Amino acid sequence: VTGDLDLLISRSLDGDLPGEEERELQSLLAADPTARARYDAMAALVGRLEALPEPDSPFALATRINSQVEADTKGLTASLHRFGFYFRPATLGVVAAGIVAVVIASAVMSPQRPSTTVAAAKSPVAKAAEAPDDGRVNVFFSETEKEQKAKKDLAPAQAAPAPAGEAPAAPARVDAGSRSNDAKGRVRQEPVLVASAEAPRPKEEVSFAPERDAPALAASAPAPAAADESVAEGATMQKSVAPETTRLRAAAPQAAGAVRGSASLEVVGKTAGALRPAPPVRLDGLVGPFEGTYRLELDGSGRVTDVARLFGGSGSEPSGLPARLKGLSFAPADAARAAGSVDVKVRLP
Amino acid sequence: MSVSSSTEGREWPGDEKAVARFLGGDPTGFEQIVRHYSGMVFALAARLVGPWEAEEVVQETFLRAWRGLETFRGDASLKTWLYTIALNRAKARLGTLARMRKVFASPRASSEDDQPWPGEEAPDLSASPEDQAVALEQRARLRKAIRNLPEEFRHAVVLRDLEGLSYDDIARVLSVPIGTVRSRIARGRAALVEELS
Repeated sequence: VTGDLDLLISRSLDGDLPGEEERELQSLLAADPTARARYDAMAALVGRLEALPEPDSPFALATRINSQVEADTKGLTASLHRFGFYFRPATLGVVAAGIVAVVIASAVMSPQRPSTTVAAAKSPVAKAAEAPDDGRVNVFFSETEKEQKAKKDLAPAQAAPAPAGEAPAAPARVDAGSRSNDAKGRVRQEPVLVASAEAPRPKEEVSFAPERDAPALAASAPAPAAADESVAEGATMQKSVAPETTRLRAAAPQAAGAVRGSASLEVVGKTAGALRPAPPVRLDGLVGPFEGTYRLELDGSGRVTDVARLFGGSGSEPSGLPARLKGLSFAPADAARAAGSVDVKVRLP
Repeated sequence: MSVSSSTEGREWPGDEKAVARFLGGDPTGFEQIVRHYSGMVFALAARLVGPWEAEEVVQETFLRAWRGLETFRGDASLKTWLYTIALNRAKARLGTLARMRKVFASPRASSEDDQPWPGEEAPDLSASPEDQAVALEQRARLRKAIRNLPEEFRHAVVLRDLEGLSYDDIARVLSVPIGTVRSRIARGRAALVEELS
């Protein structure tokens, strides 16, 4: 009842009551002092509300608003406004800061991915060539019984290369990660070249079984001249033919007294890791023990143009070593072009 | 001549002409709108959010008006349309302030209703200082009671008793039926009577 009375009083005060309802209300107010008091209180309230002064506008409010509107509706902001977006500069700043924070957080929290190239992704051969990034190629020579005998019998003829015709086919093994000679290779009658290209991933290790692979290899390794090329070819084929096993044609037989054990060439200095020697690395036939460091000047394609021995080292330098080094080339070409030179350490046991 | 054009720029041409001028690419159209309505919008904003926050509401109101003036259909007065925007901006501003006060525990919210508004003078300058102080206190009390009303009642009472809008205009601004407007005004007034008695 009070609510209805308040509504009637309120409408009456605003002149919203039709004539008949207004008359009924007036007669009610005349008869009921409580209703009359309610009417008076509400009328007084309305009077007080209407008497409240209008707040004074701040000085130059319109000028400031116009300036603000003009500033906020220029350029990109105006375009955004036209399309229904409303961004205050502070909002844009917060959004930009949020984007930067997300980028930084994602960069910090996500693990680094191994770098790759389009060529590496497309070609297994290119992938194989890119795999040994430590820039070091180790060449191992295993002694066979015949070689051991020749070592005893033909000591004076150390430097003389063996005739090509006397070099029967022999398997060569590219054994990444393994520096030991293959025991099965020892039973063969010819020297076995075991070249090791160290690869960072164990799953790319390859193995060779002479008794299984020799017949197939025997027919395709006739000449020592082709040996180094076949080593290179094998190294290229290493991962392209099959991920686990690669066949390599026989290396050339070594002259008695030639390099024994393992000869190694290692990229050192500031380009270590960035450059690697491109196969073939021809260190066979060089007599050690010797250890020395060389600075190799490179042309734009990574080929060695000049060789200079750096101070230090041990042993006497084999006479053919500078020429062998001059026959090397290094990859990748763009890194070689950028470097201009590369320092290598050669060890001949 | 320049005086004449300057005078033309400052005279209020009416809602239709000002809007048409703005939509025709003449920036003085909007400047005239701002000059004519900014005081009214400020008064409404001050009554809803207080004088210290009102200018921010007015700025946002006119920025939104600039953006949306193309959608102004003219079936209501420009004042009603601006009041609608201002009311929404005031609601948003109060929401923001409430969140900020919750975080920073600002004491201003509870004390600002008791203070005289900027530039406010006693209702009767001929009265004694004691009477003037009482009158100012009663105003502050009344404003505080209005601020304490539920939002829907507060908006209706402010638009009716302080801004003097008709029931029809209030219904447009609040987007409610006119019967709801009548009810909200009556209940708001009744609540104020109870609060102040």
